[in-house]
Amino acid sequence: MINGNEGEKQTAVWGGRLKLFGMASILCLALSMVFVLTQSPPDWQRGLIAVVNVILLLAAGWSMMRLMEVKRAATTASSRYLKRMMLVMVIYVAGVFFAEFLFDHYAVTGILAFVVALVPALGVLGFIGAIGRYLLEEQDEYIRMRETQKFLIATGFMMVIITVYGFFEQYDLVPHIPFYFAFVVWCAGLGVASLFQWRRG
Amino acid sequence: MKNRLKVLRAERDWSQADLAERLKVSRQSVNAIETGKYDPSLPLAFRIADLFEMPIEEIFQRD
Repeated sequence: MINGNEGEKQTAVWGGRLKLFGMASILCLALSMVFVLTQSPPDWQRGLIAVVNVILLLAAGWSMMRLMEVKRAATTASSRYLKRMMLVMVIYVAGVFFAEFLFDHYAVTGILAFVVALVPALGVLGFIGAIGRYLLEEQDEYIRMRETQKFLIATGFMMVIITVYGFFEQYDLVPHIPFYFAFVVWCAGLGVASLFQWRRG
Repeated sequence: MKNRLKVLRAERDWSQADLAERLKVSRQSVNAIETGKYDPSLPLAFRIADLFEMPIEEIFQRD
């Protein structure tokens, strides 16, 4: 167990790393979204930014886990949730590269094309499964209530954004984006929800 | 709902983390209950009452 000055030092160290990696991954994610919307850079650059993004998110996730442990704020379920999310993230990115590689280099058609396209989707389903499992496993009722509130705010945020964007798209004001971006927007909504909760204390 | 959790805890010289450990909840939960931001469920209120060996109504009161 960490006590006194060592605890404060560790909190500052992991808190600093979380801020650094968190900010870097937000910037990286914003850049990826710009790349997707503009379709401008070549595939290898988009792939590279995706890998960098995953590394930054893993570093931010790990820092958050360590910070929560040092501050004794982590519950068993929340630690498991963060670990699962990091694992699923790696699986998801590997799935995306696997599917992209097969579609780029082989004439994948028919049922097989659907199966290959499902590989990266399974990663996202893994995220959603991990979130659901976390809510079921979390034994601390206050934390569970806070997280549920966060998920509801994120859901509202996602519905507002995709509805507005959908109408913009309907009248050709903005480019088309794939449906799976709804989940990306939902994740951004989690950030908004955290900010909202932080403001309210 | 008002509660006397902070006073009862101070009387025993327990930190929020100590109380959280005894109740098997997070420190944030104890803090949220103490500051009135969160009203605990009935099972948790009973656990708190059992820990302090007092009836629930002596710990939690209406506003």
